[in-house]
Amino acid sequence: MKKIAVTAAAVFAVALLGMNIDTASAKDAKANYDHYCAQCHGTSGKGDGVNNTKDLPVSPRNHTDANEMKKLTDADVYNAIKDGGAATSKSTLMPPFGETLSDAELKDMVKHIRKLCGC
Amino acid sequence: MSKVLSVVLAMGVGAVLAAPGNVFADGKATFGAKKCGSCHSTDAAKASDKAPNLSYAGSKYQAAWLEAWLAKPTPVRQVKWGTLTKGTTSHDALSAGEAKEVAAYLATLTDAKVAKGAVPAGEAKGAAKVQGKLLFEKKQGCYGCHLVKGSGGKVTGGFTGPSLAEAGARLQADWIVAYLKDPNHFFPETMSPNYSKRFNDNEMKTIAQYMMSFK
Repeated sequence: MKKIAVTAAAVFAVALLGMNIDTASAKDAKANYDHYCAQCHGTSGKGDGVNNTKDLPVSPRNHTDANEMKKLTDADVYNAIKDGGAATSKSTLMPPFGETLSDAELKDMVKHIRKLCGC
Repeated sequence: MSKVLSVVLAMGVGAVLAAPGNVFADGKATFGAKKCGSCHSTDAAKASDKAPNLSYAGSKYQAAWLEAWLAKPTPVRQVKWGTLTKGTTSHDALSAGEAKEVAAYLATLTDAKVAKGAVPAGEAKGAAKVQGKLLFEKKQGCYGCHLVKGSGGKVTGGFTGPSLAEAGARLQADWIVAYLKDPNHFFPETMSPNYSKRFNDNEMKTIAQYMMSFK
């Protein structure tokens, strides 16, 4: 009986550990957006982040502009986040996040950006 | 006998540490007395949410810059630490003597990940400077988040990263390369993307040498 209890506790501990690993490795898209993207695109996605100054040769994209955003496919958005602006023939002021965010996080970010534009 | 020896040895060590010429020991004491540790961590494994981690300060900063800056601090970042709020965080100034001591102490806080001498001394010149500029401004747009000095000395760029306008007087080139290779080792909470696979070794060294011209 005691052995079963110990085994059950061990299984439970491993399960808990597994849950922690999952939450640590994949931050939700909103948290990632606020940490990485908002610097330039603003927390609401309007392209009004603190780094957007008149001296920039290209302004950060307004993610809430459905007319502009619907011109981009999901693959375009994914590639731009993963490999930076150059991947979609845009400015390299948009940096690559392929070594910063996991593939799952990149895909979640595309969905989050679609929510911001509603498109 | 061995006890006596230990006591003598301990007294000897104490005397060396307390000797007026040992600015490192004085600097550590001043660092404590000035409560620098209430904002700065000197433990590599423990980040602070208030100020830069100084556990690798001796590998990152140029000693002369540290001493001058501690006596007359000017903000390196244009946003409050850990936020996107425009503004600067004030920093207490130390006396000239204290600054010398604390800079000497910080110079002892090094990180084995920084390969000493990886980057040749001096700043990039000629073709290397042109290549560095291309990597820094065109291959990646580093100035999107970092302030840099443009033509005519005008400082422009983004605010969320530390200003690089005078990075050539502040940073060690070897540290720049180590940081580009493994940013999370030094600064896990950074808002900067990881460029470890975006530049090769030579490009990282060229960028570091190019940045040494930022003064």
